Amino acid sequence: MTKDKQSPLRWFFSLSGSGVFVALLVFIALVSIAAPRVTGGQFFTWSNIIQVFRQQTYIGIIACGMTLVIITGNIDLSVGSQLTLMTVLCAQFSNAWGFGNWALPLTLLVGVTCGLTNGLLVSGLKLNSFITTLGTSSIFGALALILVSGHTLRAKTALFDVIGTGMVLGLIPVPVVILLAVVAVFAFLAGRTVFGQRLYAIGANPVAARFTGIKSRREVAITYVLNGICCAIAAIVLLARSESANPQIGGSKEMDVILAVVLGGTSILGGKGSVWGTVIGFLFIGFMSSGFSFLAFSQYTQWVIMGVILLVALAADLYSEKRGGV
Amino acid sequence: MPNGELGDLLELRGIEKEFPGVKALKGVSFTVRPGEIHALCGENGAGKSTLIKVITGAHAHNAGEYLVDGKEVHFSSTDEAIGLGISCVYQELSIAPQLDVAQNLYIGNLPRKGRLIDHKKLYAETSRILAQLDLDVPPKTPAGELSVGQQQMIEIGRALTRNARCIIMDEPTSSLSEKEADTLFGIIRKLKARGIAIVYISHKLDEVMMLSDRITVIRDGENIVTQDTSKTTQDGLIAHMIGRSLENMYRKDPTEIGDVMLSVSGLTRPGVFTDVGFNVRRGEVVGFFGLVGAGRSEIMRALFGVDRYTEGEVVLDGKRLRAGDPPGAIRSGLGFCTEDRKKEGLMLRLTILLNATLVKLPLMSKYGVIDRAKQREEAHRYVESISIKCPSVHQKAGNLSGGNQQKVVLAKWLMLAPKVLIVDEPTRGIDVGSKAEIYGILNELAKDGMGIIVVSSEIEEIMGVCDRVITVFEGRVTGDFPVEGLSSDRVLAAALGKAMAQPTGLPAAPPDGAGAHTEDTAPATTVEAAAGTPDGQGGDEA
Repeated sequence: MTKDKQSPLRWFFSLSGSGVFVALLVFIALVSIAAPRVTGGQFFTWSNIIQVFRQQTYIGIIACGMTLVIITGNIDLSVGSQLTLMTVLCAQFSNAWGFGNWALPLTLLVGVTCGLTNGLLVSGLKLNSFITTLGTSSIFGALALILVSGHTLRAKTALFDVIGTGMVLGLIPVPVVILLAVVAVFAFLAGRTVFGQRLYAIGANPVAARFTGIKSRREVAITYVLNGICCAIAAIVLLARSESANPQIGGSKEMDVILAVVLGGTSILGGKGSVWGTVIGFLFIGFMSSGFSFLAFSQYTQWVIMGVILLVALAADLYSEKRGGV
Repeated sequence: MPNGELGDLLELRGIEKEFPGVKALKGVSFTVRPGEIHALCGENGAGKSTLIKVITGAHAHNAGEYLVDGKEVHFSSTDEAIGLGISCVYQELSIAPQLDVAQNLYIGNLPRKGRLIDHKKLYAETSRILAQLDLDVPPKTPAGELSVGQQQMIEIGRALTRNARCIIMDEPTSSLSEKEADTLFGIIRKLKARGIAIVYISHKLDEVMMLSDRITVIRDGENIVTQDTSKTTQDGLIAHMIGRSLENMYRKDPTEIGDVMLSVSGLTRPGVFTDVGFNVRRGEVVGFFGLVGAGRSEIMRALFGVDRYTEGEVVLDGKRLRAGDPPGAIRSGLGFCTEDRKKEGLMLRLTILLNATLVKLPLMSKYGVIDRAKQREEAHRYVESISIKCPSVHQKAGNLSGGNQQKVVLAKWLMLAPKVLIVDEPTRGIDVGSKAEIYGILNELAKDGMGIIVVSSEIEEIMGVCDRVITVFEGRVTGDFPVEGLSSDRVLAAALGKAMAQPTGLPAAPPDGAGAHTEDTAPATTVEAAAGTPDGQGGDEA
């Protein structure tokens, strides 16, 4: 009724993901103008766009899984460690342990296992997801360290070459195609399936979900498993690109992932959000860090800026939920 | 006080309030005299809340005059109104549970000595206020330990600490047990005797008729009538509220009552309900009546599978239902419109479309993929057939009025065409017009052969829409009567535990003088029921 009473700021943030999309366009425009003057580089070129996508692939893949977890009102802080563990394991499977290309399905299996562990702890034991996944994060990270005792592992197979450097139609790198496939699958899952729509219901009101005959615990566990599979796919892509793995490789990547999801308009309180929003979210992060490099900002400065943006996005989310009039 | 005579304490003349796109008040005139109880009635959306907000200074009016003690005022905050002695006790209580009674009473207004809080004065004043409210609790009790009724008294006390001359009460009895409501009425009359004016807002017309001196009816942002209560009838009041006469609020056509659809026997959950048994037949409407906290809702939750039971069995259409398995119960043909639609019935932040189709989604999909055309079509069909008033099914359920929200909950279950439908307090907090519509829907369903269980604490509702009444007292079934030729006294007696007990009987009110903040079963369980029963609560926090 009182639509016009809301402040312009709130209206801006009420369109999930679209505000960030506008900001993204503005940012690209600004950097495109500024970069040639500051460092002499050309920012908005096909090769740089592909580069951004390529760098963001593994974040984007995990962000898709994370979106489902967050829609149910939960969170998975262990994705960084999962990524590390699976990258390291995949390297070991393919080289040291001699499984060759069988390393890929084995890594996916590890993804299922990690996800199931999180899922059973969170929904089976009804533990708080924040604390639980903080705990499993520590375990997964430590396992990776134990496995390689601090070394860097090399990994090179024919299949990794295809994934790491191959191009589809000579234009689009294979990892980007994989990313787009994952996005399409998860967007479909969330928006068009009974499973996906129930996740929104669980996130919006877990008690009412129960009175509607939804098996919340099972559905929530499944989101964790899917998220684990995403981590495994991301690990394979990351390993194929870098051809090496070390126990720091996925360190604190959960922040980038959560940032992408929240920037994309998915509410940390659950019940609201979309995979398409998440796509905008991780593109924003990708173009931002690339843009800052073009402007010769240091990595550390970028981290500070990222942290600030995450806090602003969270505050905007909570603000709009509170004032959202429900 | 400046006005010793009959001068009006508040006078609103031709008040208009416009929100962008909506004119909520189109020239309302309303007066409040010192020491009167003035009831304000109207359907949801009539403009009552906006009017209250203008009176209390939460909204500024766009046109018209607002006079307090004959002087025109323009409040820009509620504090200014409170300063002139106009306070409001809202439906949703704002008690800080960890703070004690005294601190809650004086919250934001603590007596001071210099820059420090004057604790001595605080507790002395508190005792004085508590005495005025007949509230026998130590001032240092944490407010969270009080019953809902007592917490509400604290809210009223808060107005007294600000020297209120006019207290607005918005649906004050909606979450009170009958006994607590009676206590409240006593206090209201006491305040009136002291010259304090009360503006009383309630959907419960019998309360309004019993309590008020004058009644003002508001409809579509205009005041329709203000009259003395003694010259008003309840039917006349309803006619004013909905703008037409409602010849019969309750609708109950004779139905063809068939075979037993649901049979419950020996259902027991220690401490909650014991040896509960009853049947529901095809086409039959069975009422479940009892005091708040008697265990009615708990029984329903258990047979639907949300709560556990330790003994007994539930058989639906010849098939035994597994305990603790709501999806199984739904598949077998049981529907459950819960008591608290906001907490248990709806996802307020999601669309009407999704809320309405949530239970039926699996049947509208192939391999788990939703047929969206089918989903929309089905939702529209129900929005139309039970007339849910909404601009679009893509609107959030939270934006609907209470009556329409309740209809969305109904639609959700009706889509499945359950064999037996449980409706728990189907008309709580919704306006008269919507109530009549909901009774109409239930009537049609029964005619189509659905078995319906109506859980209610309104005796008229039970007598008006049911074929049979089952009474529950302290977790036990105490009576099972056909409604035809039944007097409400008998039902009430059974619900108070008298009918089946031996001649000596149990006392009607909660037995033996329990301590002030361990009020007996009734109020204590009210709070509990709102928060979900102990075990139901932990169920799915995921």
